[in-house]
Amino acid sequence: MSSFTIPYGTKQTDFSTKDAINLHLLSIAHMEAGLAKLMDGEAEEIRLVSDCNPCYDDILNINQSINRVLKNITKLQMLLHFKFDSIRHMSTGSHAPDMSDMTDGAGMFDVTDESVISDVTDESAISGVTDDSVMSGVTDGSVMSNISDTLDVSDTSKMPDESAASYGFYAMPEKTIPISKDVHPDASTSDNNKAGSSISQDAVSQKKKDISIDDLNIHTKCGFQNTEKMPYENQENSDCKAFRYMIQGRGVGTVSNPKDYFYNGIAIVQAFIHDEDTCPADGTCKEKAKIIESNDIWKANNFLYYSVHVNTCMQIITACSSGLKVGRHVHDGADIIMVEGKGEIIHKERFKPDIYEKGSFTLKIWPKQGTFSADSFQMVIKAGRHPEFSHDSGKVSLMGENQSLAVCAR
Amino acid sequence: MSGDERDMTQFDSDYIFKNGCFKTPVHFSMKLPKDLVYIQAQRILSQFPVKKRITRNIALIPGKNVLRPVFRFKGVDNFNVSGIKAVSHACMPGNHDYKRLQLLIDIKYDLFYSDGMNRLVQPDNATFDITLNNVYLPDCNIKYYPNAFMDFPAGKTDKGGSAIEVEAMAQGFGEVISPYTGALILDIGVFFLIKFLRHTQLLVPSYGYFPSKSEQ
Repeated sequence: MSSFTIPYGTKQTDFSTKDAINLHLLSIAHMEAGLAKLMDGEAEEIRLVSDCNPCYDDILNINQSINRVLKNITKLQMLLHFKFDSIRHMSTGSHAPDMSDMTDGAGMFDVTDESVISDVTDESAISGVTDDSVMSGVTDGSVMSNISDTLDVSDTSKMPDESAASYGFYAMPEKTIPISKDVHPDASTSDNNKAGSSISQDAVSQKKKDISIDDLNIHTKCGFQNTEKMPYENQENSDCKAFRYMIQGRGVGTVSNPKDYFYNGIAIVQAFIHDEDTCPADGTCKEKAKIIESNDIWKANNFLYYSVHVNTCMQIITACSSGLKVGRHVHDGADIIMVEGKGEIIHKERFKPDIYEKGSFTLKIWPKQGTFSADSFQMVIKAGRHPEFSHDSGKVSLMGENQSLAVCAR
Repeated sequence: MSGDERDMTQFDSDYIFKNGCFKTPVHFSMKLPKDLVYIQAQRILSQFPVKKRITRNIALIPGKNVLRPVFRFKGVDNFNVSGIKAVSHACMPGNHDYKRLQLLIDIKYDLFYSDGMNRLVQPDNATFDITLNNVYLPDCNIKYYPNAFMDFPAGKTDKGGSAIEVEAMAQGFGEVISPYTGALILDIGVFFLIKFLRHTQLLVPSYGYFPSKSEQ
């Protein structure tokens, strides 16, 4: 797992309170990313074992082993949660500690170090992470002196979603650390997280206002910090502050275009798309905006799969990574989110070899008003060499209670 | 006494014997039976073997909170005939004892698959439209169709009417799956054995014991 260097040790006096807070939050995000990797590893382990037709005893042993690992991971996540609460509490200003104390948390940064996380692959190593000796940097010192104020063991409702985390989709560090409302979060964090460089003073010193809780909660409103419920399930989250565009989940419906070959067939969209890390239209941070490494990781995880099938024929389009353009448009008076890109078309037909083709597509999504759920979508595919593989689904109304396509745009 | 038994015609054995309605062969010099017993028996009027295949288009559902599913189809099992309906029946031209029937037979089954994280089961059903010609049903109406195949052996019948019994052997095959969206094309093939049954009554003399040869 790659990571950038967090500057500490030599220029501690250059740190402002906000810098320290940012770095603390960043360390939490890194830890969460590491835990997500661990859980992903456990999932792989289960998958591997299940493919080997294990006997009953083996299954029990594996289950016990994984239980132990997950328990340790959960403990560590609780610590991170307390740490986050403490930082949030501290950021309100009333309990702001001395700056020198804040930067005294070298132990925390050690935990986020690449070598530590990458080494934690088995149970013993994990228990080592949760060991007091390792985490002493977290619990020591005045930085964490506020933990006791905010510590509430029963408050596990904000524990991150494990299954989401296990896929590596949990932590979005670059989105979690907005400096203030009027500095674009992406720009500020990209400055702060510049590899091997000290923190940009411009970004942090131009705003004298304290960081409010609302600022820190930007991530939790639309991101994955509090994923007891997915963001789109919280109806009160009617806006999307942290992400300009996010399309995530699954939409299933029936092709409504009578001119299309797949008319009345089943159309399925499975997507995980996040916006690129660029600046807002006003250009306030255009020059400073840089796509930081962790955002690249996110972009690498972006994907969009679409399939449509009817009778014995199926067509799939696959688009991954960074070749996706997301935009918000007004179409017939309604706000829509449009995803454009190129992908690979696979045409499957029973008892015939698959045909592979390149093509471009446009996905339009109509969100439900006041929610993060999609109401309907339309997929238009233009195939290159085989025009007969071109497809227009028409407006597909989503169906299925347990399947929803979350969209987030601002 | 079940409802079906109540519907059966009742006879008075004494009346039959005293009025000479029950004749024994004279040359055997048999005694009159002690009792008359009614036995209900099933008579198979017609029987049809039918092979049928249907293509299903299905969207597999991933487990909760699985953001990037990778579907793998494992198989189909737990087939069950869940319903039989007669959409229409008409007499064959020239012979009113033979009918043309259109049946809808529902088959329920479970799809077993994995989304990369969980092993999942999704119920599904397929409806088979079957048309049968030359079904021997002499007196007309089929008044009762079992809602579920499993209920039928309990012996529910209509008042002297016919019933349909369906036995089925099913299999899923020829699947085509999109691993990242869960789109599934699947063929369900079923071998049906469709029987048209009539419940009949047999009146049997009972002596209470097995007569010896000397008595006969």
